Amino acid sequence: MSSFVFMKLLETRASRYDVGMRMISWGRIGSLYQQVAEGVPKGCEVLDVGCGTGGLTAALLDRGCSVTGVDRSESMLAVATEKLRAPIGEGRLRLRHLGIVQLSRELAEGSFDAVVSCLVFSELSRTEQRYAIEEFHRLVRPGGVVIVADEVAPESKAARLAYRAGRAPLAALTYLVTQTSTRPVNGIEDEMAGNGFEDVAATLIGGRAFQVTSGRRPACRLTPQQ
Amino acid sequence: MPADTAAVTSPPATRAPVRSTVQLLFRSFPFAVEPGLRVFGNPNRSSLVFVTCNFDHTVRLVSRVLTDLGLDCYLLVAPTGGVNVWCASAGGHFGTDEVEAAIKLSGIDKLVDHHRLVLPRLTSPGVNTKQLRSRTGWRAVFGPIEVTDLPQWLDESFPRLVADVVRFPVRTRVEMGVGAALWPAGLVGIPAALVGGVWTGVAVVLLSYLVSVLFALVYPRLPAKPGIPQTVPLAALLGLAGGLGGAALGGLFETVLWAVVGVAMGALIALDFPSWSPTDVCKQQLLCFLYPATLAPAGFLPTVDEPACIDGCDICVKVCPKGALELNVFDKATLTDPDGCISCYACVQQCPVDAIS
Repeated sequence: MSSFVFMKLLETRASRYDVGMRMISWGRIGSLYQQVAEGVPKGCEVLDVGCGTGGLTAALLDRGCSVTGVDRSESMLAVATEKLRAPIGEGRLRLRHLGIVQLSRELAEGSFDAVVSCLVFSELSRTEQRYAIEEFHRLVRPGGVVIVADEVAPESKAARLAYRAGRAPLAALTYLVTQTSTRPVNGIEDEMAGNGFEDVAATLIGGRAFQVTSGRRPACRLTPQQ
Repeated sequence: MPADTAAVTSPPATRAPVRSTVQLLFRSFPFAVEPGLRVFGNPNRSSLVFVTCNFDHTVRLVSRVLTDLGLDCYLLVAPTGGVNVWCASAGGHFGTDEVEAAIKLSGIDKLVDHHRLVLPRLTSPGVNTKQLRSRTGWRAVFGPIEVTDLPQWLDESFPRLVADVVRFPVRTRVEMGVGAALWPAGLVGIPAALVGGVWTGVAVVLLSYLVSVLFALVYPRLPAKPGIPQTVPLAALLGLAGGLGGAALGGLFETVLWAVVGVAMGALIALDFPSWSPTDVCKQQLLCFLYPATLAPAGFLPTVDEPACIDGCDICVKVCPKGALELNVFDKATLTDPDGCISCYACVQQCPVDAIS
């Protein structure tokens, strides 16, 4: 699944993003979204950061959640709006054009039961990733869950080298066409643990090229009086 | 966000010959560095805060100037996708959002007590300073166009807005000539190599660099205007020279091959070079198809709504990078040099009463 590099190329063509994602993931993208959505409790209030064309958003809506989807790309949101007309009409989905740094201005602290972000971190710089994790910690209610799912590179040095070599031509092509590149993101779980999340867990799926990292903002517990 | 967890990257090494060379040859492409905070000297709570793009070349240039100046200050690197200040700002990738991101990602509000940023002058087409103030509380002042003029600006003008126009000195022209030559070298050189063999390709690549740099050197003195008026004569001249050279080398094949190479090289260089020139960029966008050259529609010229325009306010006059606006006898702004205007949008963006459109 190293072909997630193609994502950047596909993103410039928002209307063809879904077809492209299905192709390059060998049709597994749907089940991938499904597996990410399964980490979210049924029927809760979710923030989908970087919802794009609404792939994961649809999976969350299927679980009966009410969703707020934000994305920095207007063309991607336009596709999502078109696709998810029904839940928007029912008031179960709100789509907003916001980047990660704009969240703190627009959304109140602790206003979501869950915050999810799928295939977003690989497009952010380290500084932005760190900021995003702190921001997610703020946005989720105490006891709520945060899930970050993204491409990862293998842990061992040799495997990582092979992975990089295999990915290089694709990365070069993407860079030439769109002048951007994605990169696998490792170490999200450490970043989350370091930012006050508890029960941090990382699960590898999709041929070990994809990692779902989840963590919980500590709940407010009553401490027994001494 | 607490300051101690903010990403602080130490200022980059300012001398890096290999990196500089690679970035010069591939100047068309973005080279992104980590956005966030850079610290110079031992800044305190009233130290200056500068902002720049995250194009590696620019960050190193700015760092060198700030280091040489020995100033205790902060530099915020905005996430502009690795694109330089003017292209990013005029193309919609260095606007209010990115400055807001620079402020938040750096955690600068925990480090200083004031709320004043020094923005590069050429962010004026993209950053809406009124919106920035209402969103973040930060007030922006514009520094000089060239960061090398920063010491003088700090001495004489800070924090005032002073008129400054873009220049295109010999050194920059040569740099841009080298950067621009990648396109003719690749787009003509590779087909030429396939048709005429490797050595033909190598010769075309070398010639592309030579012609591109020579064109850059004479660019400001050319009698014809940028665009088609420069392209036709150059393509014809190089085509003729190529044809004659090819004929001298050998038969009909060489003659035709070198004539075609000449025309293609001339057309590519003359059509594209204006987009490398700060005096004409935004108007020309042959190879800017990957990237919008300006927020304004093609051929845009600013018109001033005179009743709305504030008497004697000359923000647009000073902010225009070409000095194309002046105050008229009624103290209203007027576009006096429409040919000079490059549709960059700075006057529209910076007008305090939105009287320019």
